[in-house]
Amino acid sequence: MLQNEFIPVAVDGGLMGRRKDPEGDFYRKFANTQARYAAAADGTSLAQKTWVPSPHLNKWMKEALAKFATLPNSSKSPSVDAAEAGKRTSPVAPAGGLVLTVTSRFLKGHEVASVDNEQYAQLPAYDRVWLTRGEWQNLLPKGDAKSFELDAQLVRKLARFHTIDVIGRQRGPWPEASIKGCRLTGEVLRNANGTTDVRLSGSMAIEGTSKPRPNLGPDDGDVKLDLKAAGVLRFDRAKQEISQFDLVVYGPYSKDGRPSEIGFHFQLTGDEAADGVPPWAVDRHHLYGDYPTYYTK
Amino acid sequence: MKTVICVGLWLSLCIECWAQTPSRRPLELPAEFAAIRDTIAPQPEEELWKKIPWKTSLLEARQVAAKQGKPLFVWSMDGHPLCLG
Repeated sequence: MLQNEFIPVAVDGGLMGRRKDPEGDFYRKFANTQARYAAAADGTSLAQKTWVPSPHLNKWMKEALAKFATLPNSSKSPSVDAAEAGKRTSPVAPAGGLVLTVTSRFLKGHEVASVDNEQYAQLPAYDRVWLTRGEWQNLLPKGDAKSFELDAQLVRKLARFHTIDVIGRQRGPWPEASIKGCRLTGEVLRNANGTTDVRLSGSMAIEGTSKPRPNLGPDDGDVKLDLKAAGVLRFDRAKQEISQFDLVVYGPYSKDGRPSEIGFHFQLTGDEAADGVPPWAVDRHHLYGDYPTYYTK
Repeated sequence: MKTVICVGLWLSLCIECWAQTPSRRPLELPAEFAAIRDTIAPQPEEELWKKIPWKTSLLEARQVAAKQGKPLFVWSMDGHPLCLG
């Protein structure tokens, strides 16, 4: 019913509700908190539910459809100004940049995850990495170098913004001082047939408390990560683009002395709807302005 | 006929060799890290939400809804729903 009778759309309500643009204005016509909403294309509210278990969701959707059926055509099929796209205030990926998807999961000891629901703690979580052209070009060797150190600021960015427990999205990026060490080196495996193949290896050590978001309670404890990294990268010299990127970073993660293990997998992003969602840190910084600068170049 | 078969087999062999040249094969992670990657990777039952054709743009969703005469189903969370697993 959801796929056939509705147009499903997923949004970060915390951000959408604060956006000062036509999309934010439209959202605020019928929404004011995180919930499931049914609404007509003109913003007429049909139904709202903060939590609907599956059997009740069907009933809820039927009720929304019944109400929708009573609306005039002007509500069901209003004129939507395509020019609103130009007034959008949400962040966009850098032109000529590189977008990666980072998937994270607790490998052991998910009980330390920053989320109350145990079921969620065992699930993978996702974020995106947005790299500018200048940043991703720093993933490549310079000249004929057979081995090289990846740009320290770039590696620090990956450590600071993307080795966090995003499950539940209850924490922000690591403070600068929490990055005790991070390093990635590259070794050129092959430079032939129009491609450059590189093997990556390194480590990331993070220690300390994570700065909580302003509207959260006290910090959830002292955290320590001791991660090792390995990856591969292929650069297509003809197309001047990275055609393969796989980086796995994993290792012990302790919180208040409680041990666990966490893993992160960075790879080229796909073309699904979720892949267009901005990185958590970019979205929040864009809106609140109180997050550290995300781009290094 | 034999000539056609031979040429066909030769072409298949060439294509296979081309596909298997080092620059065509995807690069592989070290075994330890490949295993971790496979553990991190979402299982199909963990991504049932992907069976729904979610849009992430309210504007685009409105345009489609208006065109098709359907209501919107808006999944709103504090933190993007498609990123929480």
